Amino acid sequence: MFHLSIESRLAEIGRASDWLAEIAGSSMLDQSIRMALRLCLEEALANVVTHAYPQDGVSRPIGLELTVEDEGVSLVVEDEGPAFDPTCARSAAVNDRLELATIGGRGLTLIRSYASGLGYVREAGRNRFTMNFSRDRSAPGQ
Amino acid sequence: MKMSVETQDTGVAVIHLEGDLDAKGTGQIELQFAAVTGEQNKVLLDMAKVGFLASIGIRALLSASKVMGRRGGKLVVFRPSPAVEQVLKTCGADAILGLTHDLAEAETVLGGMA
Repeated sequence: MFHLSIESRLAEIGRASDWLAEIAGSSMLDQSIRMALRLCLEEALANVVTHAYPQDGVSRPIGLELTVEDEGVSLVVEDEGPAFDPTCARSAAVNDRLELATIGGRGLTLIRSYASGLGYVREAGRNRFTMNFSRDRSAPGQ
Repeated sequence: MKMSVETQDTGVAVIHLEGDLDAKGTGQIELQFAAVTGEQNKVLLDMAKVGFLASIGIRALLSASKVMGRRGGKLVVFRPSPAVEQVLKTCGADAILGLTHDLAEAETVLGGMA
């Protein structure tokens, strides 16, 4: 299992993405699963940085765990924010009229589509959000 | 992330993006992007060289498109890569923004505007 700890700033997402790319390369993951992993990592971290923690300039820790197995990959994002279960949260409604469309709220929609399974536990004051990626299904609708 | 702009005789501003529209890449171009879309009414957004798109990038596109739409302008996403197109379609942003791989079609949509 691979671990990384980052701070809750948008600028840290790039560092997490580089970490993921390095492991994906050495683990010989194919392009579609890399894309799904990177997208879900970006979206999950953006949610934690912008919603889980107060925007007060104080950096708080976010833990990442990546497990690569024969049948697939799992990515865990752990934060110390208030309890929030992304597996139950509502995705933004899709509205195709521009003037009514909401600007944000698409991250969870993307995570639900690109990950093959999601899990959540609240443990010792932390949110642990698990995203699974099956090697034979790594793009929406497959 | 790179961004360049060319304005055509037809009044269409073509914005070429090159790189990844992730948190980092979006941060690098968002001010320039908002400035250009803030003053243009017809924008063709060439995404052929964008390899990755996350919701932070989609937010920048939708936000610009919304600002333009309020004053009668239009932004059309042009020839996105398959990975980027799939992300746009998965969250329904393609229907909001307008997306085409056909230059003539893009010009018709933009040219037909007041």
